[in-house]
Amino acid sequence: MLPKNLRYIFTIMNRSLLRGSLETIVIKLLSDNNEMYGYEISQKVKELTADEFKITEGALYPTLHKLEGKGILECNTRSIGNRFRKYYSLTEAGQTEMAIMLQDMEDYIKNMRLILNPQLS
Amino acid sequence: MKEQLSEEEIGKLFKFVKSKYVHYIDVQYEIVDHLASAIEEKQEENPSWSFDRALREVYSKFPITGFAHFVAEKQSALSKYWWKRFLSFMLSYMKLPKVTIAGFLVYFFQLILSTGFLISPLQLYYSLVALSFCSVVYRFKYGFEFKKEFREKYLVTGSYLSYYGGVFSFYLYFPLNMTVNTGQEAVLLSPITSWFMATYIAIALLWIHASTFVFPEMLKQELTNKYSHLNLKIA
Repeated sequence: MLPKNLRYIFTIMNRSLLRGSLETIVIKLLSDNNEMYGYEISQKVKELTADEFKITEGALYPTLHKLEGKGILECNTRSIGNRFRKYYSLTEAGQTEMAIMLQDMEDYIKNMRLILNPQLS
Repeated sequence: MKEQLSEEEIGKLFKFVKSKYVHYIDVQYEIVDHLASAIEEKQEENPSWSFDRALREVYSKFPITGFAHFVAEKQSALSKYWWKRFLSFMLSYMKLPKVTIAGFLVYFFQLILSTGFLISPLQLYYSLVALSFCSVVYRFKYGFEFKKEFREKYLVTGSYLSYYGGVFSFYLYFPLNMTVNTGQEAVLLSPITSWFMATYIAIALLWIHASTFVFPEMLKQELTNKYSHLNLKIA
């Protein structure tokens, strides 16, 4: 078991790493699921990572709005019973962006591995 | 299967969101759905939790600033969105086939400014001011941009209209104004100055045209496709 202060440092590091990767995560999920709503995205990330990654509302929605502003995402609102829900999906530009982002992320992970485990290279 | 919140509870959520200084109705809808989904999930996991307890728990996940960051980011994203759409329309005049129209306009205005072809520069200036005035009257007739609710109650229309004022600045700061307002009837400009001003006038004219006829269509489509639940109608 890690000491409490070290655990805290790891949590902070995880958070900033997650924040930096959030756009890629959102784009990848939307590409796999066609369209999703905000809450669904945060739950899906929790589910896929067995509760390791928790995306806060304060980080998720600004990212969604930013991507929407850039023209990478588009949205449409539909009625679900007694309220309305906003669904996000990738635009054509978003599909292209996804390929670039995933490639960038894979390259990044590969290079990080080389730095962290130089003996494996 | 998760049980949906009742009509009354959704109403309470709208009140709650409003009490946290989210005044834009379109943004309230988005936050309410998020809160409702999270509350339904919490109540499914903890069936004994009341609506208020689940709401407290869900709201505690938001940053200390509450929904302020959410609104600010959305505001900035929507501003960028509209600016991008307006700019891309204007830039389409730099490409074929529309560049021929832009080129013709620049050439035509340059002829007037440097040689007084057909009309004098002063007459051209007054014509442009009259045209801008007509544009405002036309838009006033259709009215949506002068309605308070479009400016203040909805972020989608508020952010759109924040760029709209641009049409006024074009003729208020016409560089031509400074040149022709010398008391002389016909001031002909040097070739370089006339090309510069002709370009400026052509851009201003295209902007006036776009903000009168093209951009309102963009907003209309946006409201139909993405915000039909708001029942916002522009003529």
